[in-house]
Amino acid sequence: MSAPPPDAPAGDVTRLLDALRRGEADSEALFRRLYDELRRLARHHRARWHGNETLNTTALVHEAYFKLIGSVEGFENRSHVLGVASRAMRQVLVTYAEAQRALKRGGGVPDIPLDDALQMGDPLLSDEQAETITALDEALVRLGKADERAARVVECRFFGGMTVEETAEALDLSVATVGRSWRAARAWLYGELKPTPLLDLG
Amino acid sequence: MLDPTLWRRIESLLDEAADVPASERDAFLNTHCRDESGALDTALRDEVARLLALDDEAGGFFGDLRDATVGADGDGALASAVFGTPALDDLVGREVGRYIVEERVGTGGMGAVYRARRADGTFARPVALKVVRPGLAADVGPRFARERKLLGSLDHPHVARLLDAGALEDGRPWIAMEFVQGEPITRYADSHELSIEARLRLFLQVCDAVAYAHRQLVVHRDLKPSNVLVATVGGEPRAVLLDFGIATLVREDGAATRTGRTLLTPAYAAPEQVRDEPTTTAADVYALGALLYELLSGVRTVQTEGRPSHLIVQDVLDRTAPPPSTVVTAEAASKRGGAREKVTRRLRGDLDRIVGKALRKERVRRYSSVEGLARDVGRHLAGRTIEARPDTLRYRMTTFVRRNRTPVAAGLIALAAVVGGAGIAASSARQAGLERDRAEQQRQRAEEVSEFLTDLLGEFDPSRSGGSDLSPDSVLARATASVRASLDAHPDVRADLLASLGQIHQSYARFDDAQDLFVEALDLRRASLGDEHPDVGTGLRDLAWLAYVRGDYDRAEALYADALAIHRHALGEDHLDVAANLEGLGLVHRIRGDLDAALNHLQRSLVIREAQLPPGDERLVSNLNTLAYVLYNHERYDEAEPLYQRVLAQRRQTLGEHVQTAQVLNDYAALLLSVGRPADALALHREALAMRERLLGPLHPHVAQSLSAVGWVLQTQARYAEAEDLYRRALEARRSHFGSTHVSVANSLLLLGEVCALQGKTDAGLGLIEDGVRVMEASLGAEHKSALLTRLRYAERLAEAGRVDETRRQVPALRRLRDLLEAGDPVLERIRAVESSLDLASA
Repeated sequence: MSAPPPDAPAGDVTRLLDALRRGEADSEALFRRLYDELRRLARHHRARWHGNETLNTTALVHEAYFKLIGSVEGFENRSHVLGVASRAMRQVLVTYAEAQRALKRGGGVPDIPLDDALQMGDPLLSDEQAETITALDEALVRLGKADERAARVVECRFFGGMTVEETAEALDLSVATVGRSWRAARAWLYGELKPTPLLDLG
Repeated sequence: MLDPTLWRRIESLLDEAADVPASERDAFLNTHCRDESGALDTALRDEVARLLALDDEAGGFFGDLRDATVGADGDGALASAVFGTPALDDLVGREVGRYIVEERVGTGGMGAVYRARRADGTFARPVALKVVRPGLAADVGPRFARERKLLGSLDHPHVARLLDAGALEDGRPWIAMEFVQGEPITRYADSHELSIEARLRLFLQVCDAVAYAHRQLVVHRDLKPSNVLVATVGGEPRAVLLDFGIATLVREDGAATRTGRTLLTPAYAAPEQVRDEPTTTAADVYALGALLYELLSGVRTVQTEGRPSHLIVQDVLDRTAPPPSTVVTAEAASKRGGAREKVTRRLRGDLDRIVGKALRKERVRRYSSVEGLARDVGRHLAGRTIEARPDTLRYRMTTFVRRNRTPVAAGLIALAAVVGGAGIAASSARQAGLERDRAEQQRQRAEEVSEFLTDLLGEFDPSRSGGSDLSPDSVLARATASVRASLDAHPDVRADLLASLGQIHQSYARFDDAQDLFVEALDLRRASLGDEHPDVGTGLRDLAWLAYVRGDYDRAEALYADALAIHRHALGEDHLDVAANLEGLGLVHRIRGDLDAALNHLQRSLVIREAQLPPGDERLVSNLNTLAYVLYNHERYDEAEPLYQRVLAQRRQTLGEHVQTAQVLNDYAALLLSVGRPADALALHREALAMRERLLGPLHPHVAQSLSAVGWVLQTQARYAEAEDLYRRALEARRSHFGSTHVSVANSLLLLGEVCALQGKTDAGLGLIEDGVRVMEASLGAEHKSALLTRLRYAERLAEAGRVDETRRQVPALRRLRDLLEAGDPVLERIRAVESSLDLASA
């Protein structure tokens, strides 16, 4: 299988989006594709910066994310794609975090610069990031059990960097509902994560 | 935990309450948080109140993905934590100074790095543009300005050049540097599978650059692989140093400025940096040591991944990294052009020592300059001896002593080694122009020791001493007197020399003199170094070994235990000194007959030594040897024999004709006799005897041992007269050295008595055996198993001779012996045989 050109959004993503619009593909297929695409782009960027001061993995992932969503600019159901991409973003990060935690079972908080962490041991994330992502994801799963909608809002707003309006469109909700849901979810998650010393960043 | 229906109400109430003025919120919640019956739902109210209190902070805490990207003003702590260091995409495409920013190529602890080009197109080459990230600008602004000034003054082929500097409109400073293509040095070395030699040559480039900077009074302070980029230029790797970002000027008076702790990289930071103490060029020496460690072994000196920072800091401060040679994996070795064993061997010795010296926790014990470190690496590459000697004078001396057959010559060479070491330390300290007081102190010490040595050597020069007495006695006496009369200002050196002389005395079996010297050395060390110093432990071990050799096992055990406690505390569980003490205790247990304890101690010491020493190392071989001996005593012949073969081959190869070689010959021969190969045993014993007589003279205890051993083999072949003659010579030698109360003397008496009895000289024989029993009891205690076994032998001989009354008198001791034996022990049968002979006699 020959790799698509790295920086351009993969042609088959575009094709997939077309298929999606024609109702010939579902969100799950889009999710898989975007998920793979994010990881591929992140890997590519990492290889490119290899050997100089280097971005950490999540920074690469979110750069990849912006490249990806940039390619759907002007799409008619762009918000829907963004919503799916947000979910893919969360999943990519959780996957990296799990991989990292599996590597460093029983770890703590190293205070090494992030660029170093990547260069030396070549870990996927800093342990701190892995812990944070995992803690956030776990809290989000708990929230989702009580209110799936709130969890989706957090995905779009936080992981996808989507505006309230984009989120409302993607999830087919009113702007007011998204605002309400986001505020409550945010406060509750903060209460869940705050005791974690990892997030005592101030 | 969360109730879905409750959650909807929480969402709404929270949203509404947030718009209510803070002073009215309690009332609002009490009014609205009601259940269906209209009663106040306190659980709901409390939850909403809790979330309301979190709401304000939560907004700032979260941020979102875009916040992380653009470096938002809000905290965005979660976004930062999840998505990483805020990046600075905003400069791409912009004009900064004379440059056009093309692409962000990385983010570091301090900020972002961009690739940029001259806007006027005059220079095609890209530059690296470095901009402080917003959150840090206030903190590192002044430091940034310093970097600009410092880098501007540096011009060296292996240092990234500063090209320009300025400030953005928002005041953030930027600097433009030579754009360096390359990989971090460790990664480059691995991906190009550089050999150890190539790595060392590359490392010398780095040393050259750092030494140059030091001469310009610039300390790097953050040397690490990501700051040393390597690219292939003209077919050769070329290293370039980046980022003198936290370097500060060393003032001319030698005092150093301080730096904040936040930008430290623990894996390469020196202990004094972690402690936030003033840092000097010594911190760079340390970081270079850490870099070299990783370059050679593939492992960092400090494990940082996945560990809490306080543990990392603890390691930096307290834990000495294991020698590089001991941590190489097969995978790392394959990137260094060889099998693991080969690379391990390559690193052992010089390179372990060079790295160890650069990484000393106390900076005064490191190389006093980067030049010093580079010089040793260079000397190593050139196949010359390095200056980084093993850590202790003691080790140095014993190394030299081992290589030399005649103890006195060895002693002199050891003295020379001490002096050489001190002289080198002094000259390199002088060269650095740092640590003036210490340099002066060392210089004085070197001169004083040097004078002393010159005098001493003069005495050994026959032309100068006018052909006076050069016997060992005379030489030792004069050397001892010289040491005592000089070196007043250097009690530690004097103690080392006295202990060294003590060992020489001991090797001549002059135990009282040795004892005096050891005690004197120990007292000096305690007074000058304190009771807990490792050298005090070493002094205790000297005394322990002497006590052991003299047969005072209680004292030996106590001394070994004290030494062990000191070494464990001061040096850690896995230190070679700890292994030496464990071995000593193993020997004591062995001779006391507690073979399980002996085996246990010896195996523990062997584990430590096998992990750290090359196969031919004396300590390792001797440990193997002792273990073989204990296994032999456990009658585990099959396990013992291959160990003996290994030890003997090693001894013949490295030592040739030597007391230690003779000892192995002797022990291996004993095993051969046990497995029914008397002819082989006799040949080895005779070889050992001849070797010992040549090396040690006719009266040495080792000679006595060989005499007894040859005699014993002859006795098993019924050559009693020859055996008796050998036993007599052995007894004579032992009495003259051990006095009359010693296990060895007892053994000689028993052997002699028995061989007399075998030849029909019953009275004489029994008398000798009885003497042997008494000596044994006096030496070990009457209840010791060996003493009781001796009594059994005596009883057997008495019974054979028909001395019924005397035999009967042995019965209580035999019963006590029986209590010590396990069921099935063949000795039980011998006891029964003696008892039945008595029954027959009384029947």
